[in-house]
Amino acid sequence: MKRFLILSALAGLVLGFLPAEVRALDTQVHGFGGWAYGWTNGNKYSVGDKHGSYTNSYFALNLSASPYEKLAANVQTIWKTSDKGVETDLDYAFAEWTFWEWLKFRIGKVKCPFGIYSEIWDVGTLRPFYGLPQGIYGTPGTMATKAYYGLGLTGRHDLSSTWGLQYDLYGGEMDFPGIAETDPANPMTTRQLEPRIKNAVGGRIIVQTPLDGLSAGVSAGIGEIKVFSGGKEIDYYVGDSHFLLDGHIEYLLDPVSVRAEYGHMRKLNGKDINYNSFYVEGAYKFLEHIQVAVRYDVKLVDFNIPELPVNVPDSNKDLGFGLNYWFNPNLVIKASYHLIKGNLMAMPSDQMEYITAVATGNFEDPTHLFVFGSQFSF
Amino acid sequence: MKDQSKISFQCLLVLAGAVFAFFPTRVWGGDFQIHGSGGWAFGITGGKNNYLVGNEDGSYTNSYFALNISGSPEERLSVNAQTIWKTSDEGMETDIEYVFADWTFFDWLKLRIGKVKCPFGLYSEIYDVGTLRPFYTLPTSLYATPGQVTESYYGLGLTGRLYPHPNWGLQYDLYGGEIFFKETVMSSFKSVMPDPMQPVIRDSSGLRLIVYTPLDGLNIGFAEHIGDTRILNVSELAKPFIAGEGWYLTYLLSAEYLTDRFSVRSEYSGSVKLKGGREIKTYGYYLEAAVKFWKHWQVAGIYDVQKMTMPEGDMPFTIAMPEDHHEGAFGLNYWFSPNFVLKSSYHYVRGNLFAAEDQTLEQILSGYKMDEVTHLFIFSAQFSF
Repeated sequence: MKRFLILSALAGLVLGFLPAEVRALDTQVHGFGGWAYGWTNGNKYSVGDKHGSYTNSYFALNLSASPYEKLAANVQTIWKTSDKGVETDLDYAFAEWTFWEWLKFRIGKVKCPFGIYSEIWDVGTLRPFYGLPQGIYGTPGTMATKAYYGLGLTGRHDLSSTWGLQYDLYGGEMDFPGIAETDPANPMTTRQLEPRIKNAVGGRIIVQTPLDGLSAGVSAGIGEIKVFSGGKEIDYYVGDSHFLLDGHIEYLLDPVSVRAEYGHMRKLNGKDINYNSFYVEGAYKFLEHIQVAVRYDVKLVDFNIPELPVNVPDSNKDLGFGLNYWFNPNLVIKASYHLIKGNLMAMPSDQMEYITAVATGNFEDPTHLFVFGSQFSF
Repeated sequence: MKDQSKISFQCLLVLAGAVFAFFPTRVWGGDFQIHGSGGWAFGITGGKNNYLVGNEDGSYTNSYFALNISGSPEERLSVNAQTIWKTSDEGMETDIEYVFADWTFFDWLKLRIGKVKCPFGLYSEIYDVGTLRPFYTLPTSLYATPGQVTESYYGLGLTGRLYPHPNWGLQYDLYGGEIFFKETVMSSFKSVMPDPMQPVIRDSSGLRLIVYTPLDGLNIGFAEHIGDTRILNVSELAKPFIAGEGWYLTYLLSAEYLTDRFSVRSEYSGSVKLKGGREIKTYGYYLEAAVKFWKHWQVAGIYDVQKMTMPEGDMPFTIAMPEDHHEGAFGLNYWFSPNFVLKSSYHYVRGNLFAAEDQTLEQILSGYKMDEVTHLFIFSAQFSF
């Protein structure tokens, strides 16, 4: 709360008395969608399961409008289908006021400036694999989220003709995708956990280098983790103030794309869960339409929690190879094979099988995942 | 009364159909428009009571976006739809607020059919447009749930405007169908009755008249609807406490004075039971005023009251049902432009009809006393395009 008030006061000081200039309403509509078939040899992982899952599809509708020259309203809603049914969500809805190019004010449910992919989460035509790297962007234990509720400042500044700087500072609250977990009160059932980071303050800096296409950045944040179930806060073994750090580097210049990202999360005072994740992802286009891709994606967890059973999986290592056909920059067909070691994220879809596996330590490992899908944007 | 309402609804249907049949369509260049309105709020009460967007620890997760699409494939036809996405600590909600076709016979006579914007009260047709009001939330007495106003009805209606004199104007609406209110969880009984109840008015018919006066910006209005109120999705536990079903006449008086600098609005609404069920007596009113200064700043105040009287006797046991809501609030806003505003407000609330603690069953049965006074602070932003 204190951090939030300080940030509010800072933003208030920055707010000037700049006159608004009327201009014609400029509304843009964009959309991002995809569909995937996923098959594994046993475990549920990403879009795949042992029966072969056809029902993974999504569409994100993106609207932006500028009713005034300095004002932009940005909204994105999403519809998703999976074997569990249809979900819909408001990805973000925020107003952005441009004081200068180097200083913009954002308020609402705002796109979260974290890492490489958090602001382009649903834009499948901006990445070589159908799914995002699971270590940082997957559940359970995701470190990134699409949006924060609150306010922030963002901007760009050209340091020289070849160097540039992009920066973000924000405060508020973040919610993360829900996680189904065995209900301790009734181990035969699951409960849905909704992790949130309250009173969060964070920032990101990205440096554009003189080498065309190369940029590097750091994101960091602190906040109090609180876990909710059924809309009510619950006592959970992860809580209190945590620190999150992410470093990333990206080289994007046709026909090559290389991205690498490292994320770390730990408790500020004391210990509960430490996350360490990284991935390296490279892709190369040839013959105009064909692209090959490879990704090595790792997540390691230190459970400093004595109450947990010893056999709870603590690692996920995913080596993926992809072959894509790009009809044009807005439509791509993607095929990939993933070899996954560890059961932190590749786990039995049946709750009883999971409980049995935790009790006996007998998980199916490794997991083989095959994904065939298509993604488009406009 | 039920039969009368059915007759009036059927007459309306036949009348609308007859008028509809006599007008040829003329093809016209299509016109398609997208608009949106959204907002976000941080709300904190600092006490045990929850109220509007606030709770004890401070709630950040209140945001919404309403997407409004209208199209005119032909000159006389316009199609209007609005969907909404809302987030809160309870999760995500989405809804179709309205979707209807509007056929213009003349400017003074238009037919609307579908899930139609409800012409009842000053704010019911601009529920989500935060840039058209001085506070982040609408006046609780009439617009919160459980309330007296809803955004739309399912059915058909006629609307139009007349200017019989250069300085006087008249807007009128006549409609019939079914009115669904927002699903309601009584805030003080959330733990005990977590499933939302669905108030609905069946066989409903209503009208609204708004008079535009020679004083620029001033209008006054009257609205009413009659119908058979039902509460759906009631759990077995809640059934003994259900009241308010039956035939009710709900009426509303409004006055509004809007200029660039000043805005003053006031509404009074009450209901009268006509027949059936255990009666809940309800009335509510508010007076809201705001003034802009230094181009971008605005101060606002509101006094807002609702009184609900529950029926006595025939309860399986006695529980203290909150019946009053008195609220005084002050706001200070900064308008970047007419489409984007930052709002802060402080609300002093007496009574637990809306500002209430989530009680356990034991607390309810033991006559637990909630804090009678609630303090709410809201910091928020709203935009539209």
